[in-house]
Amino acid sequence: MTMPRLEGPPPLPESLARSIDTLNETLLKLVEISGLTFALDPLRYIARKLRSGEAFRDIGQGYFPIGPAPATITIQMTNPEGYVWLGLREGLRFSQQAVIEYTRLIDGTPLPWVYVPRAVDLDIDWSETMPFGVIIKETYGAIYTNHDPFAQWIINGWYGAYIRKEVWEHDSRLMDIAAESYLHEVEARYGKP
Amino acid sequence: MANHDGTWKCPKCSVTAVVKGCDITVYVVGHTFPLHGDCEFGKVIDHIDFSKLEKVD
Repeated sequence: MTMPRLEGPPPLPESLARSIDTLNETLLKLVEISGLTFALDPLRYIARKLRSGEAFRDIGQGYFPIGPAPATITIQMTNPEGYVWLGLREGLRFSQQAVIEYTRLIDGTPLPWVYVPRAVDLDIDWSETMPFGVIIKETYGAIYTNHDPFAQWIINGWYGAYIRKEVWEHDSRLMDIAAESYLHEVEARYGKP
Repeated sequence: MANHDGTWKCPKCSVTAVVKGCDITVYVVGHTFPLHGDCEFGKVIDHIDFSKLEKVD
């Protein structure tokens, strides 16, 4: 006895099949984009690198006095060899009468930040630049000049992480590839700006 | 104030610093400065006891 041959549903109209294919492709892209957003979320990225041993944390604080005007303290900080620095947060507090001219240098380039504050504290949210923005590749400098006739003091505290240079470079390239692929797709669809 | 211009080294933490007049440039690995509570480089320059430091040049 032969079984009756079961017939499947009639084939989809070609236009409908194409629409479903397009929908599937779009959904896959959305999954990919949300996966990248998840993986590259700055704090999640750093937490993962710390757990994997590709980075180590850098948490510290410092206190130092500065002599009467025009004394200057320059602190030149060098990363441990083979590491870049990703900052998360930093705070600076000055003594009440301090008038401190303050300049930062990242890899030898002065940031456009020169402060001459009097009793004004400073918080820096480095995480805004994370993880593919401002990276300290080798050196970080801070120049403090006291403009007050009396000795003053400065305290600072920070947390960040040192990440292996080759890991950061590899991840940056992945990020570039992902970003470029979407940029080019937009260009292909809407034309060159 | 005596003239202490030159490069100095802390024998405890090996941090070096260049002194010129009342200005000091400290070279450290990492972000922590000073590295220990009694580091001479952590003091106001005219309170630094240079006899506790090594002259490098």
